[in-house]
Amino acid sequence: MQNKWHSLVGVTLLVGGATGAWAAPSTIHIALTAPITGDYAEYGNNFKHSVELAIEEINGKGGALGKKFELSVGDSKGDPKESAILAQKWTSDSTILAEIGDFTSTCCMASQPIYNRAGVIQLSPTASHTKFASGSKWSFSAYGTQYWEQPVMASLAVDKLKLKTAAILYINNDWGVDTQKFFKENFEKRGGKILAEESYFSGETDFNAVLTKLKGAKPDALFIATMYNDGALISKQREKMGWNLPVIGSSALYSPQLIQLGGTAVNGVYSNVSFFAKDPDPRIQSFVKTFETRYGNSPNFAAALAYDCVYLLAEAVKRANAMDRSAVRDALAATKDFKGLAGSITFTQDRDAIKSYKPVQVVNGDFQLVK
Amino acid sequence: MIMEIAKLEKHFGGLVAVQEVDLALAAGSIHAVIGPNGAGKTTFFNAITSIIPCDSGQITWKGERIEKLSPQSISAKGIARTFQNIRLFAFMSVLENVIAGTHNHFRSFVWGALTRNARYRREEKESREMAMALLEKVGLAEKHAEYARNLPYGEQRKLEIARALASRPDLLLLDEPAAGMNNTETEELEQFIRALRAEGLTVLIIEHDVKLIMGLADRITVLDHGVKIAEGTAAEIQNNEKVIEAYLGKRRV
Amino acid sequence: MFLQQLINGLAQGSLFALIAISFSLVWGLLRMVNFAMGEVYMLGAYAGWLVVMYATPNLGVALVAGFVIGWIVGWFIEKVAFKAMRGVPHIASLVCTIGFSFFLKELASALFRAETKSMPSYYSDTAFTFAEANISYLQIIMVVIAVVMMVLLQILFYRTKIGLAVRAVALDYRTASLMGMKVDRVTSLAFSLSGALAGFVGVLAATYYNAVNASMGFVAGLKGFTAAVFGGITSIPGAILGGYLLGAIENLSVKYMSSGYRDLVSYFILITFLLFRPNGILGKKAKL
Ligand SMILES: Nc1ncnc2c1ncn2[C@@H]1O[C@H](COP(=O)(O)OP(=O)(O)OP(=O)(O)O)[C@@H](O)[C@H]1O
Ligand SMILES: [Mg+2]
Repeated sequence: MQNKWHSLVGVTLLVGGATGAWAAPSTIHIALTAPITGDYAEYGNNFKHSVELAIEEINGKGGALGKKFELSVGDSKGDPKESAILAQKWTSDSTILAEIGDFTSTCCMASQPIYNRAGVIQLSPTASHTKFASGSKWSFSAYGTQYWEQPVMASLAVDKLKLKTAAILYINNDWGVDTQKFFKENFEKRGGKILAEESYFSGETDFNAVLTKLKGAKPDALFIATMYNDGALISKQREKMGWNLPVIGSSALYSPQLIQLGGTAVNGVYSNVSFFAKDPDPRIQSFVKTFETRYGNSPNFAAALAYDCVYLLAEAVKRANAMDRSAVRDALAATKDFKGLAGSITFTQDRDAIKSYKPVQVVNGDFQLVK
Repeated sequence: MIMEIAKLEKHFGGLVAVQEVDLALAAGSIHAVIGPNGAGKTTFFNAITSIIPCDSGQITWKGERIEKLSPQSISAKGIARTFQNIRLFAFMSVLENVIAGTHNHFRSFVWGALTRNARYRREEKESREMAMALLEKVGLAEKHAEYARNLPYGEQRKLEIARALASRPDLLLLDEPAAGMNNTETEELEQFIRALRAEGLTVLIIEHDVKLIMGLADRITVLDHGVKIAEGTAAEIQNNEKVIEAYLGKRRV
Repeated sequence: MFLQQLINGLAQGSLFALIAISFSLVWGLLRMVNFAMGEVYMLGAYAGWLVVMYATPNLGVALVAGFVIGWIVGWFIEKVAFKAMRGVPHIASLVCTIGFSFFLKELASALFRAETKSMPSYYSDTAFTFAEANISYLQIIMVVIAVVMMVLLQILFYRTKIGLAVRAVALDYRTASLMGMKVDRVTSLAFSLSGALAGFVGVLAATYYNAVNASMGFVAGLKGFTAAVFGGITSIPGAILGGYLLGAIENLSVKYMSSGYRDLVSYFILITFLLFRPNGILGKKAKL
């Protein structure tokens, strides 16, 4: 009896899946997984807004292959469990061609097996863990890994700022561990020395103890592998301790919220960008302007990357000249010199984007390119 | 009659602990409730003080029905009690226990404590003095700073009486006050209760010590298996067939 | 740096101790744990933040706002989770407070959005430096406030009639009611007070860490509970002792181990004490 049930369910699934693939859908249906609420809400909303904006633009110009884009949005809250639940939902919907998201590497990697099993494109604008995109042939990252980003920061520290020693404070998750590892590697390769490393868990608010410990190592600089919100908090508590030294972070610090939350404490903090809102490039300026008038805040790097992702998919669909999931995947993997808002994108063998980064610094409450 | 109880009843599941008990209490009298173990005496007290609400029946106190009131309202009406199994505030000092008893007589509460206004300070002082005077009276003044739980058994009984008196009641219910007391203490207790009556207090007392009861009580009510089987003066009760049977009957059969 | 960590520990310990007292109050009265205490603390922090952002930059007013909000929320939780559930098995109230904890957290993230709010610094200058350890005015103020609060509570409980009533109800509410004490009112009062204390500490913590967010209450509540169990939840002195010890141990553990182990140390203490010495260091002897 049970066996019969199983085969019945199997057949239904097969038929359902097959009809989904065969019936020519009238739209290009893509799903967005983003932390709309939770600690990363700022990024999540940037995702959502810019994806909506890009789809509107593309649809305004007639879509791709004569079909309009259609969007479904899910809130993962920055929680890997929620992200995986959404993955189940998207992959069981046969009309969905591809998924854009999630924000953190941890969330992306939690749902990766589900997309892999179902054969659905998982295109993350921001996942930067080195093992993410390489983990499944259906996974792509438009961000570029810490592998490409940290040499820029290490070089800034050693070659430009002439710093010899550093202490590292990193968030204990996939992304933080990676960031810490690549900075350390590159810093040491250039002759720098890491004097102390400490980690903390997501949700921590008291950094006094760990900063006190790092301060005791007397480093020239502090490297923080954290998101903007923790970065602001750490800077404030560091300033209160009277510990003044160059602070270097990753691109995750690049957000207006860093300055809003951190106030004067984040002055001097270094970060880097692949997308810089004040870039005079007319294409970027037009995007920034539309985004600002529509949503009342300026787009951050996550917005630019998510926007690029929609265009990446649109282009892949055109090149594939088909709505078939696997044809589009192959076309996407073949992307070369795609000109996005956040720099050009070429996918490596492992479907990671090779990109270039520009160091920035907070000067008087505003980000400026480091010259 | 200061209190009239009519057809008071209390069940515990199938067990009838108190069954249709009537009792009339004369103001200024000492009235005893006696009966074998498990007769329902304590339950009767619990029902009067609303510690355990009664199932049916009426209690009239100074012309007012009180059987549905909460324990704190009963207390406010001027009824105080002690417990068979002493229920002092174990981790409070002797003095604090008695001060707790004065609670009803002092009005200012939150506001007063916050501002520590003149009235509040006066009330605090008064309640303290009153409590000390009561401790003096029961002979525990020396031990006022001790934890209640550290007193010997007999003294804990005295303290409970002092605490009950602190609410300046018109009716005092004593549940086996002599239990655990030695002879001298029991005699002192007898004198003490007489003195209370002399001050105008009405006393309802449960006691197993027959000698104490016969000498002390103006009237005696006898309960057996939740039922009132007799009532009268000491002499009447001593010669009552039913009472003798209740106490000794099982042996005769 | 040992001294610096100890000072950090004392400052943080003040926060733990005050939350622990909140737990003690409720425990003493009802033999119950209010697991929404951390969220009351979080709402207090938001109240303080709203005051300094939109009304007045006066930290004193912010602290009062935290106190008042905590009072109201504490009062409400008692009415729903405890009073309305009287007679129902204890576990129902417990689950209800856990429900409250989630509800209040989601409410705050809906009202204020989930991202962390920045609380301005107050009195963050270094008051003095001693053997390389910096002590800020705020750290001193925190310890002073904590000590003053504790002394005030001791006075309240041991020198006033309300305090006597609270202790009487905590020890034996039936007998207390026979003394004419209004058990409901006393319980409600003490519960509100515990909430007010939590809300007040929330503002203090927000100022110290410069951060307010909807999820800040969870860890704080757990640490406060740990401190209470550690020192002895049955008594206020126990809660205080537990708070300061936990603060010191946590911060020193960062010095001697990796900071990643810090919470682990706390929860290890919690579990060990729950298993082997549930009455805490001070044990059962001291009552409220
Ligand atoms: N809370 C209760 N629940 C169930 N049964 C009870 C309760 N209290 C008393 N009883 C029962 O009611 C009956 C009367 O008990 P009660 O304590 O009133 O007797 P008593 O006359 O005071 O006895 P004693 O002389 O031993 O004190 C007993 O059978 C007792 O077991
Ligand atoms: Mg009895």
